[in-house]
This record gives sequence, C-alpha cells and structure tokens, in this order.
Amino acid sequence: MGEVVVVTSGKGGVGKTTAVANLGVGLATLGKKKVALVDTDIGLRNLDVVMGLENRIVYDLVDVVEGTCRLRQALIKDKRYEGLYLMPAAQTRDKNAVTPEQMRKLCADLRSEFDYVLIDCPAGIEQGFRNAVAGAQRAIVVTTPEVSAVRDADRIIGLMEADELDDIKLIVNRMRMHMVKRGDMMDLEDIREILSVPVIGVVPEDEVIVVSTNRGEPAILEGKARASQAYQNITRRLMGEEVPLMPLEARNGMVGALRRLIGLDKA
Amino acid sequence: MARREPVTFKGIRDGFLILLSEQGEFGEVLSQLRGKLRAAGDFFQGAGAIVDVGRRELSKEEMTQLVHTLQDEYGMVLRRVVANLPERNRPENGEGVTVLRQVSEGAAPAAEEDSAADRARREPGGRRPHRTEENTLFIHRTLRSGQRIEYDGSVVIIGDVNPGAEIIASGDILVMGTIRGLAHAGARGDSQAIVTALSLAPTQLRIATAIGRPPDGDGAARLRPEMARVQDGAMVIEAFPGWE
Ligand SMILES: Nc1ncnc2c1ncn2[C@@H]1O[C@H](COP(=O)(O)OP(=O)(O)O)[C@@H](O)[C@H]1O
Ligand SMILES: [Mg+2]
Repeated sequence: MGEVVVVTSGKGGVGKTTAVANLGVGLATLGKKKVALVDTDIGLRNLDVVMGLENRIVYDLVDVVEGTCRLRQALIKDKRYEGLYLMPAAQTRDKNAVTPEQMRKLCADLRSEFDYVLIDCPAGIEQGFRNAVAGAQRAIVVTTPEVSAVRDADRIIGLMEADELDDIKLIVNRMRMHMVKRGDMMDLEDIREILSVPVIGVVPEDEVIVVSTNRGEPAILEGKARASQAYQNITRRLMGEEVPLMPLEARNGMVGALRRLIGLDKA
Repeated sequence: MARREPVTFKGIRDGFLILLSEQGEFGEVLSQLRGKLRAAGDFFQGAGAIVDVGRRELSKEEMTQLVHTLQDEYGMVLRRVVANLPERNRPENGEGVTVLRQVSEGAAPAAEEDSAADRARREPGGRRPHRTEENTLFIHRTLRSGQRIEYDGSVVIIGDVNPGAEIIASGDILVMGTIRGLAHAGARGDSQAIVTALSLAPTQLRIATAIGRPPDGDGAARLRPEMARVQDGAMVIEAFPGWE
C-alpha cells in the first residue's frame, strides 16, 4: 500500500507544481519507486506542461471520477522515467466537478498500485484545496520566505490539522541567502518559529528551475545545480532517509534554540 | 473522523464526554441521546457532562434543547459544549473563518459580573487571583491564522497564537508560547482580566475595553514572560515575576 502526499501552500505561485514534478522524478529515479502525480488544479492545470506531457493527454481526472474512462486510461506514462505516471487535471471544467468523497476513492485506488501518489493542489482554501487533501495521509506545505506566504501556509496547516491530517512537512522555496544575510528576508528560523512543523527541505532561488520548467523537464537531475541538489535531498527525506539540511539552509537562532529547550517545537 | 454511532459516552475525570453524531437530523440524534439516558435510569443524575457536537453547528434552539434534555430531564450538569468546525463563512468579509474549537457554556452565559465572591477572592492590591479550573479551557496546540477561539471563562494555550489567529475570553488568557495574533481578555467587560505569555508580540491586545498595540518597530518577539493588565484605564505590560 502506497502513500498519498498532498503538496499544498495556500498562496499561489510559490512552487507546488515545481515541487511535485521534481519529487516525482526523484522518487521514480533515485528511489526506483512507482509514482503517480495527480494534478487537482482543475481549470488551471499545468503539471502536464511542467512535465512536458501536455500533448499526450486524452483523459483526465474528471473523466475518471465521472466514469468516462478507467483509471489506467487517464494515467500518462512518462517514458523518460521508469515508474512515473501523470494524471492530468481537466482544463475545461471547474473545481466543483469533483468532490472530496470522489478524491478519497481515487486516492485509495491509486495507493493500491503505486508507492507514492503526489497530489498537486490548487491555491486557495476552497473546494479545490478540500479535494486535494481529502485522500492524503501526508502533506508537504510549500512556502516562500515572505510574510504573506507564511501566513497562508499557517492557515492551511491549521485547516489540515482540523481535518486530522497531521503528518505535515515544510518546504521553504526560493530562499535567497544574500537577502537573508542583509536581513531583507525571513530566514529559516523565523519561519520555523511561526509554523512549527518539521522542515523537509530548503530550495534556493535558482535559474535552473525556470529554465527546466519552460523545457518541460524537471531540474532535479541537473547535476550540480543547488536547487536540484535540494530536491534530491528532499526526495530522500520523503522516503525516510536522514539527510541533514545543507549548510546554507540551517541557522539556529537563539530564540529557536530556547524554544526547543522548553519543548515548544516539535522539530 | 466520521462518527458512526449516533451517541457515544466516554468516562472522563469528572463526568462524561458525550460524542454526538455529526450526521442526520439533530432532533434524531437528540432522541437517541434521550433513549440512552432513559435506559440508564438515574445513573447519570448529577454527573458532569461535556458534549462534543463535532462539526455540527447548533442553532440557539438546538443548543437550548440539548441543555434542557441533559439538565432538566436527566439531571446532568452540562459543563460545556465543544464543537469542531473546520470552516465557517463570515458574511461580513466573505473570508472563511475557521472555528476549530468553539466552546460555549451550556447554560446561557451570564454577563461577567464582579460578584461579591469574586471580590472576596481578590488579593490585596486589587488583583484577582487566577480563575479556577472549572471555567478554564485548555488548548494543547498552536492557534493558527484564521482560527478563532471564544470562550466564556479563562483560556490556557499550550502553544502559540499566530498572526491572524484570535482568542477571546471573558476571563484571563495564558499562553505558554508566543502571542503574535490578537488576544482579548475580559471580553465581557472584566477589566481585572490579564493576559500572560512566555512572549508577548501581539498584533493587538485587548483587555475589557482597553486596546494596546506593540510600539512600532518592535516586531521581534522577546522571549520573556510578560503580563498585560489594565491600570487606571490604560494597558500596562510588565514582566511576569512568578515565571522567572
Ligand atoms: N526555486 C525556484 N527558483 C526559481 N524559480 C522558481 C523556483 N521554484 C519555483 N519557481 C518558479 O515560480 C513559478 C511558480 O511555480 P509553480 O511551481 O508553478 O507554483 P505553484 O504551483 O505553487 O503555483 C514558476 O515560474 C517556477 O518556475
Ligand atoms: Mg501549480
């Protein structure tokens, strides 16, 4: 029985789709896992574009839940990576075309066939979010080091906790170390302070992501690029390996240390 | 977790936790509850009850029925009603408001009054001692953005109150963590109420009708137990001596 992991954020444009694509490729290649990526951003799909699989779409998520096609027919096999499949979202429907109940059923079906099911969640806290988290056992919250993104991350963490989805990890994306050093950006400790969920990785701002996104080829296998390495590490941590945070990522502030001392932080 | 049983009883320290199904007509659930209570004879007579209605939002009438059933018909002492509502829309601003654990006293909450007993309990110097446990709500987690807690009594939070979270209590508020959001103690007008936290960095603090904001530029949370109270109509913040 596989695991269903939802990748979510609250705020849009912080890197969810990028994370799903990279972790999908990572799990399939580094981990030799059987992986299904599910785009639940109905009406605004783009995981297929980031994966370079757009022109192979015949059926989609809505077709599956409505019974227009069988599950397998909507799973596009990524020929570049053994074991990797994509279920695209419908582009011409809206979020209400699917219910949380249908998503639970779909996730249960996928779990029995795949080691990992990664759900790409739409922005917001409405129906699309409800659908995306419905069948998940774990969640990865993506945020950028900005006050507004962290606030939204906090909001959805609260909503997921209320839904008893408690296995929540955090990716801090687009970290710009020179800005942190200047004090112009929230650092990891500031973010940890507020969100108090374990950090599964920090991904630096990196051009390689933009280039790879446009090429339809996730950057995770791009040799030395720092963002690629960050995603490789996150892949390993997702599979349960202990990989320390890269040096650029971690910094233990006084306050953080104190808080851990008095046991307020889980991580 | 969806609840299958319409009514479940669990023994707790000083009475029973009664879990009511989130599904079906509330009237139906209530008659199931009556059935169980009736079958038990006077076993529940005088016992305390906390009723958890899960994700069901009770109307005032339904709340009254519940109180009536437990207290008047079967002699239980309804301590409080607990709800777990993941989402609620507030028409004023169209923003979804999460009421994670909204708790209200079973009986219609009487206006907070400086009773003679209250006054008698007050220490020299005019400060009322901490309220007792029976009207204190304990929360063992961080309140996150969009979550709001209202309680008729005092609230103790073991965790933080994050920016965008709100906690409103008729009594005191004690946070074993950092307050970054909004806290309103003495919300029914008790200006003797206090707010204490391991670290005070609130967006806004209110006690009764007094409002305080952190001085501009003082963004960073100080890790130092502090207490806010009202003195001569103004809010003062001081180190909380007992904690150092
Ligand atoms: N680490 C990064 N460095 C640079 N650009 C990034 C990074 N992560 C994401 N981006 C860019 O940010 C944009 C939004 O990313 P996307 O994954 O589509 O966000 P979401 O799915 O959360 O809306 C994309 O153009 C993507 O290329
Ligand atoms: Mg996206």
